[in-house]
Amino acid sequence: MSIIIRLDRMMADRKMSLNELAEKVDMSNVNLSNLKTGKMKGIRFETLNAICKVLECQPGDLFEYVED
Amino acid sequence: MKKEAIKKLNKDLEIEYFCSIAVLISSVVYSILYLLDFIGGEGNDNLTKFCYGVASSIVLSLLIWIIRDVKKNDTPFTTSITNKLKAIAGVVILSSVLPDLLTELVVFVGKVNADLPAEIDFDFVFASKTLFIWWLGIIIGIISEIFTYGVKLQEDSDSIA
Repeated sequence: MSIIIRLDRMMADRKMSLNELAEKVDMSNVNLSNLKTGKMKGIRFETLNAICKVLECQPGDLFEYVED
Repeated sequence: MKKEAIKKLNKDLEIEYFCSIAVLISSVVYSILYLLDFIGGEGNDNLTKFCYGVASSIVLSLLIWIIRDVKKNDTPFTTSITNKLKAIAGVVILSSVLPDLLTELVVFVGKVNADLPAEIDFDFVFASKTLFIWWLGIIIGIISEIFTYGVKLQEDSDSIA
């Protein structure tokens, strides 16, 4: 896939652990880890909204498109 | 939304769970009583009723297992539940003919041993009751295939954060 997830970079910037973020966005650690490592096929707007609110960022900060 | 849906499903299944356990216990008890009546020589019908009781007990056990699996996995769409539904379909289809067939065989063997004229009557195969149970099994089989599709949808849904 050409969409790269930059969630780990944003979490490091905000000094937030996976467990802490998972608890704040009401997701399981497993699902959030899968999202971070690009194993998920998609993301709901509801989830994206919650992550952006907690990490105080824009959706564009979390994703990057790279030509194949 | 998914959590609320699962919570509601588990709550709705509570009553079915306890009813199934109650009916399973009575089914097992009656099956044993019918078997004892048959062994005591109180009519061959008791063997048929015993067989239906065993089939009911198996179906109810699988249903209880399915409800427990739904609570454990937080979804009704798993391969394990689909396989149990297929097993229920198989048991129901078999129970449409096996109890009457077994009774006819026992009567046949009894008559042969007593040197009486004996033949197996296959009229039960096309009886309304047999056809109804057969169709019930087919419908459950179709539902299990729909659940197989549901498993695929569940996997797809779980791959979206």
